[in-house]
Amino acid sequence: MASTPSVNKSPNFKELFWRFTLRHLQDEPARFILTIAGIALGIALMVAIQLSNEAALTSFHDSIDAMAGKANLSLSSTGNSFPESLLKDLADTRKQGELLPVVQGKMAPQDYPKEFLTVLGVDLFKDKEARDFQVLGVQDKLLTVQDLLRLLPQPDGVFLTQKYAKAHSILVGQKIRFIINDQIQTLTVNGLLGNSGIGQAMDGSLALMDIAAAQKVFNKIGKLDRLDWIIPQKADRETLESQLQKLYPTYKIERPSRRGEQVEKMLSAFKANLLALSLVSVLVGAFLVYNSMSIAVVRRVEEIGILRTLGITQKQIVRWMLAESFLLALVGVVLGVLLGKLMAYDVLKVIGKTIQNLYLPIPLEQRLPSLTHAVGWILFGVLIILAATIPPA
Amino acid sequence: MALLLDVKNLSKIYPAGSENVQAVKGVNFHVEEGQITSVMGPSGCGKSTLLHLLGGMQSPTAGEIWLSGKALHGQNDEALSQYRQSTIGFVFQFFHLLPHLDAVENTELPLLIQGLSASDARDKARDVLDRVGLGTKEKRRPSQLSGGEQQRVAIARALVHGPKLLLADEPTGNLDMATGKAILDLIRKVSNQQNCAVLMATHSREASEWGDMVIMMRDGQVHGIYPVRK
Ligand SMILES: Nc1ncnc2c1ncn2[C@@H]1O[C@H](COP(=O)(O)OP(=O)(O)O)[C@@H](O)[C@H]1O
Ligand SMILES: [Mg+2]
Repeated sequence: MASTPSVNKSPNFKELFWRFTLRHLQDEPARFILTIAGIALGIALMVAIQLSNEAALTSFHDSIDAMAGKANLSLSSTGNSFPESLLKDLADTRKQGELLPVVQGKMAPQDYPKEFLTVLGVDLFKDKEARDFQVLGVQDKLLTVQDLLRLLPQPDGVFLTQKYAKAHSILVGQKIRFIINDQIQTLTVNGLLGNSGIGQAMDGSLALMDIAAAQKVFNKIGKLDRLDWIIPQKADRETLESQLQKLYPTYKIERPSRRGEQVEKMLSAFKANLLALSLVSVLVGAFLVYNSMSIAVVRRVEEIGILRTLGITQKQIVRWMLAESFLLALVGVVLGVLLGKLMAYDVLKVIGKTIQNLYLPIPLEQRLPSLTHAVGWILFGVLIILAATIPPA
Repeated sequence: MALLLDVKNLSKIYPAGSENVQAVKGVNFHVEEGQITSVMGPSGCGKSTLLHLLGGMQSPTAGEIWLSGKALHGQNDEALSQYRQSTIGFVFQFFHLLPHLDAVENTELPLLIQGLSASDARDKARDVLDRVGLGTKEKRRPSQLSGGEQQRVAIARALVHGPKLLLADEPTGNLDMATGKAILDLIRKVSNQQNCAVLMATHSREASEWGDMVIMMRDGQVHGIYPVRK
């Protein structure tokens, strides 16, 4: 028998590790499964919240962009309508670029009283310059200018998005009863907005009307809600902006692209809450690991004691426990990221509803980021969980 | 015979509340290579503590331990672990086998800890299991073995890596008379084969007379060291 006092050779760690870990896994699968499930749930929640958070904000941004179109300056009276005469006063500004009046309102179909549509009343011909939309007629045929001209004089015409029409089985030509300012009015669906530009904004909860029709329907005859300009020259726009600010100090003069930033600021508190929530879920996962490892250490005090008498060092024991929890964490976190991606759409709905209730209508477009962040999440999750192992080990 | 173990003025004090427990008080003795020595004394006299000190599982409060001319006192965990890996074998009253591993897996643990490959370790472990008479039961887990058989596995594990000193703490304390006697004979046979010294703690007079020397302990002190008359 070789009794050579061994030269400082390190243990056959691989063999020992697999033997112990697999044997424990075999003999007490419940602890492993519970731990992995705990980690997976915590990470899944975090990933789902983050994914849907980003998706909500991204498509919210897109909506704002689509609705603003090319307009790069706008004037509105904070929340109220203003007299149409303002348009005449500002007619001169047409020299610098396009000037587009807008009436805005909200309505819901009588059959779906909670599903509000944001209605933009615009000059349909001119507005095609500013905003990106296509109008489709029966059987999705693109409407020509002649078609539009024919439809225009109708005082009760409305254009819904294709997405909305499909979801509510609405056909072109159909008459629909809407609740507008607590009254029921019947509007005719003159056409559908194709699935691009404005037709994609706000998750389809948007309608276009001719400005005159909108004024009538929303009881805003002789009134406007907003003026949009498209000013090609930057210098012109800046001059106009400061002129308007001097002339109309009580009005809101802004660049539509800024509107997104403002709302985002508004939403940042909400975002922070979600982030905190997702961190809590990860901490819960970490606590589960801590707990599981504490149990493992307690249950293995004897085992560890025996291994110590056989010459395993304290450091090697810690390494062993870390390796085991790394394995648990890795499996749990990978499962969690996959599960989180599955859960994201449901969370997105909840977040969308909440934002809608709290702030303003927001699209529920499912545009989830890909799993490119996954590696980062996995690293993050595994690190947190390893940190939770060190105290018990 | 060459000197293996030299213990000088060894003391261990356990801090226990306001009054400290002095478990080992100024103990002196030595053990030759391959010598079989019993440490005899009533329960609580400090036998286990002494064995733990010699195995580097605890650090002495005072005194010196020399093994083959190397100091054990004042060493760090790394060095003491290395020492246990290479030089020491342990056998306990309650066997202390790992319940999740079978007989041969338990036996080869010290070799894997030393860094041997799985197949080399398996070959050596089988050899030793054969020598303790358990060759046919290598696939059984501890719960499927009798007390005597478990202790045989423990002896195989304690000797598989060729230690110079086997520390046995009441190895027959949990066995009936006949089985206990067989275990003692086995320890003597196998340790003689590889020239391994044995230090066995026991509170039974019969058991103590099985070795070459007896160290009498009481209240943490050595009261006398006698050769066993054969
Ligand atoms: N870890 C410990 N902490 C405090 N006191 C201890 C500890 N281990 C043993 N003792 C005490 O030291 C004395 C000797 O114990 P021990 O070495 O186990 O004796 P024996 O093995 O001869 O029965 C006893 O009084 C015991 O209570
Ligand atoms: Mg004892």
